[in-house]
Amino acid sequence: MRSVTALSLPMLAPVQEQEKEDELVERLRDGDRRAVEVAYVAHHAAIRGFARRLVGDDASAEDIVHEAFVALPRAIRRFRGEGSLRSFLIGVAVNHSRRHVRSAMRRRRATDRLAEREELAPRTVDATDELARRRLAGALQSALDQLPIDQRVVFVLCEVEQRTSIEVGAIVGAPEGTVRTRLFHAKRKLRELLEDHR
Amino acid sequence: MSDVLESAIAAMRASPAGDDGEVADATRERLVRSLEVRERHHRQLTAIATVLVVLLGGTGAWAWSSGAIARIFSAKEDEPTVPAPPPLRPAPARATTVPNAEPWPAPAEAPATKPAPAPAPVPAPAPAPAPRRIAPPAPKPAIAEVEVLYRRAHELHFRNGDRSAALAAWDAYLAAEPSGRFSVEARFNRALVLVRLARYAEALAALEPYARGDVEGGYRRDEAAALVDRLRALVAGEGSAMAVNGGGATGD
Repeated sequence: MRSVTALSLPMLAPVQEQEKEDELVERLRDGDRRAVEVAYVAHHAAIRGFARRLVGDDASAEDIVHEAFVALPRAIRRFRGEGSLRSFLIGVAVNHSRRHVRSAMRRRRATDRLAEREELAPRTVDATDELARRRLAGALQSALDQLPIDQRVVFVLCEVEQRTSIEVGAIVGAPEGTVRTRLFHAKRKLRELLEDHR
Repeated sequence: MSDVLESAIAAMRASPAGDDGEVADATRERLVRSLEVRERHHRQLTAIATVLVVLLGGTGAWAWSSGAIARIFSAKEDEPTVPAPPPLRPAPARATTVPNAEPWPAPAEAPATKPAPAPAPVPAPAPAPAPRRIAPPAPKPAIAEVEVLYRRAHELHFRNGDRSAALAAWDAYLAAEPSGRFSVEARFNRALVLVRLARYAEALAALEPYARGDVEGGYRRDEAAALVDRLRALVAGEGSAMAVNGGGATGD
C-alpha cells in the first residue's frame, strides 16, 4: 500500500495542484477575502515581474499588482478555467497597466532629461558587465515606450517572459495570428530604435 | 542588428523580477486594507439598497392597495379625451356640508325646470346638517375600485354628456356599492339622467325619497321636490316635455 502511494504521489501532484487552484477560484468567486491573500502569496512575484518589465518603473508596477489583486474578486467571474489562474491574473494586470504605462513613460522621460542636464548619465564605456546590462535593459525599456501598448505587452510576454503565442493570445484575448503579427512589428521597430541608440 | 535586441532582451530578463520581500509585504498590507475598505463599502451599499427596496416596495404596495396607482393611471388615461368642463353654476351650500364625500369637485346638477313658475331651482342655503359620513382612514382595494366606477359615471354624465352611457355607469356603480360612500349622490344623479332621457316615471320614482327628505341628511331635498312637482305634472300628461327639455339647467 505504501509503495503504491509513493508511486502515485508524483503523478497526482499536478492534479492536486489543479484541485487546489479550483478550490481557490471557487473561494474567490464566493467573495472570500482570505482567498485573495492566498492568491497574492502564490502569484504576486510573477505579476510583479511582468509589471516591472512592462512599465519599467517599480512604483507603477506595485500599483498594477495592487490593482490587479483588488480587482480579482470581481474579475474572477470572467474566468472560465481555460488557462491557469496566473495567466488570468496577468491578463487582469494588462488591463490595469495602460494608464500606468503612460505615467511611467512620462516619469522616465523626465528622469532622462534631468540626467542629461545634470550630466548624471555615464558617458564612458561601462567598466562592469552589470552596469552594461543595466544600460542595455534601460535602452530597451525606453525603446518599448515608442511601441503601442498592445505590441509592448506581446513583446514582454513572448520575448522577455518566453511564453508561447497561444498562451499570450489567451492572456490578451487575441488570436494567435494577431499575437505573432504584433510581435513581428514590435521586434522590427525595437531593432531600429536600439540600432539608433547604439 | 538582431544581436543588440537579443542582448537587450537577455539584459531585461536578468533584471530583478518580482521577488522583492519588503515591497511585496507592503503591497500585501495595502491590498488587505483595500479589500477591507471595499468590503465595508459593499456592506454599506447593500444596507442602503435594502432600505431603499423596503421603502420603495412598501410605498408601492401601499399605493397599490390604497388605489392611488389606479387613480393616477385612470386620470392619465382620461386627460387627453376629456374636454374642458362646461361652466358650472355654483354648487349649493348643502353640498359643501358633505366633507370628503367626493374626491374631486362635483358639479351640481340643477333641476330641469323653467325658472319662472317653478320654485327656485337652487334654494337658499339651509342650515348645514352634520356630515353624513366620514371617510375611513385606510381605504380598502374594493373602495378604490368603486371610486373609479363613480368617477367614470360622473365624467360621462357631467363632462361628456353621454346620457345613456352615464346611466349605465351609474347603474354599474350602484350595483357595486349599493350603500356606499357616494350612493346617495349616485342615485340622485341617476335620476337626473333619467329626466334627460325623458323616462319621467322612473325619474319620479327615484326622486321622491329625496323630495320627502327620506334620504339621510336631507340631501338636495328642495331641488328634488321642485323636480318631483314638474315630473308629476309631466307624468300626468299635463303640458309637454318642453317644460323639462327647455330648461337647460341640469348641468349637462
